Amino acid sequence: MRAAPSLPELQQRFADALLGADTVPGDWIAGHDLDPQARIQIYRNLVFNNHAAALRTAYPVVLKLVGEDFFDAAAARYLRDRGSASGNLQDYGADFPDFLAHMPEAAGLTYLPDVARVEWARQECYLAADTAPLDPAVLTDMPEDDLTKLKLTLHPSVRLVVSDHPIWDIWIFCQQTAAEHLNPASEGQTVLIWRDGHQLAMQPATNAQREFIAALLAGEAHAAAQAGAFSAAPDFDLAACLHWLLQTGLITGCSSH
Amino acid sequence: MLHVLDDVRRDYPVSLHGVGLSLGSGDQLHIAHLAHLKQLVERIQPALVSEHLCWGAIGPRHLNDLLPLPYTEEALNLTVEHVRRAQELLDRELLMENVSTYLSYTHSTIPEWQFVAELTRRAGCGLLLDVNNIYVNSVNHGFDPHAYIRAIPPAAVREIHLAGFTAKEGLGAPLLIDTHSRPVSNEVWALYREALVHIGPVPTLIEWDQDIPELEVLQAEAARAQEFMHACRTLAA
Repeated sequence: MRAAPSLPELQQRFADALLGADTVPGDWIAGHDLDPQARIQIYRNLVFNNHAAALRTAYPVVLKLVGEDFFDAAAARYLRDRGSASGNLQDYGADFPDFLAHMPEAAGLTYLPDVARVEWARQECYLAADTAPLDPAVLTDMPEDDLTKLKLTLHPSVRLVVSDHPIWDIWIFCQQTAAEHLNPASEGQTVLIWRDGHQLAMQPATNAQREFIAALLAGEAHAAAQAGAFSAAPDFDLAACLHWLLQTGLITGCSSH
Repeated sequence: MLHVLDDVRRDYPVSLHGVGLSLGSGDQLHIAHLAHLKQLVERIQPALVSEHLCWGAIGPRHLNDLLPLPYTEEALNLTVEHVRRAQELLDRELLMENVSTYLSYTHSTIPEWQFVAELTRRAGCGLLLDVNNIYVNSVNHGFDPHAYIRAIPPAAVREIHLAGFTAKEGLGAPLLIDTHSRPVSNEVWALYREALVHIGPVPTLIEWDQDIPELEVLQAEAARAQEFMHACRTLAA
């Protein structure tokens, strides 16, 4: 019988065994009429089920697209290869889209990683901090000079997912029960995700909206964001877009330095 | 999402119950997780804050489960230190809950009930006594659950948990899993009565978070716990 393991040594070996095919030395575990490896297997199943359930909650559309067997196989490999890096299970799955993008068996579903990005953006949006909206009067009272240097801050829940695939159409298609026509090879779409009150909201964004909001999210000044939007679409209705952002409470701060 | 918790807190006292702090990790106390918990505690102002007597992470890897500790002096010293530091950082008492386990280690030297009692004494923490977990472990590891209850320092217990378990078939040995998916068993109700006599009435939670039944079923379970507590009060008076 080997020497008793230290606590960190025991926990390292246990983690190896739960996340992979490795085993914990049988003589570390009291069998009590049950094979020690059968006892380890109970924990292996519990750990997998917890993580798979977290992924299913975060990625219902991916699950619908690939089916349960494929999803569970992907979930098992994801747990083994990437694992969890947080004590908060709501953080688990952040790089699942990237994992899917590198999964050879999913290579035929070129749109799948971007659909997964939409789902993770929705998860982040849902869990983002609350922040009070900006009082629109702050903008209307601002001197003209300051407006040119203006920088707007968007609500922490705002997410933009840009894709070469029709991610909005695919997402909507998967919400329907009746079979509708879908062409997954049609042109790329961008979706905007935000929290409206306590509800998650999502809509497709035009090219100009995409340029404008992406620039604001990247911390660019209002003038640069506006220029990007107009170069994407000269008829971009900036006033309407700003009005909507303000009215929906998605502008939470501004500065003019 | 916190608005739901804020709304509940406006009308009721709240007991915050953590699962991810991994106070039994052999390498580190998870300070960032603790800092998040502190923020939440400051916002919610809960009546009670609890975590589990277990481990769930080692190095950068998180297993996100309540994994069994070996009951050794080494594990006790380390957990005592982590619970003390967590209480200092939170600036309040933490309750530690005994967990269900499906294996035990050959190098454990301390009975579980003694480990729990000793932790409470040395770390100066409270106890969240899960009576179902005591019963589940007594079957899984073959010990006397009544002796476990008697070994618990009554003054440390601030909250009790009850739940239903599932028996795992076909293993060749009895094994109960703490599934939170069924009614509280008669054996556990009997142990609950013993615990109340030993400890006195304390807030009790029915944990049923898988295969959730009709509200009436949950209400009947809660009413039964309330009756036991009432009987215990009458007995004490």
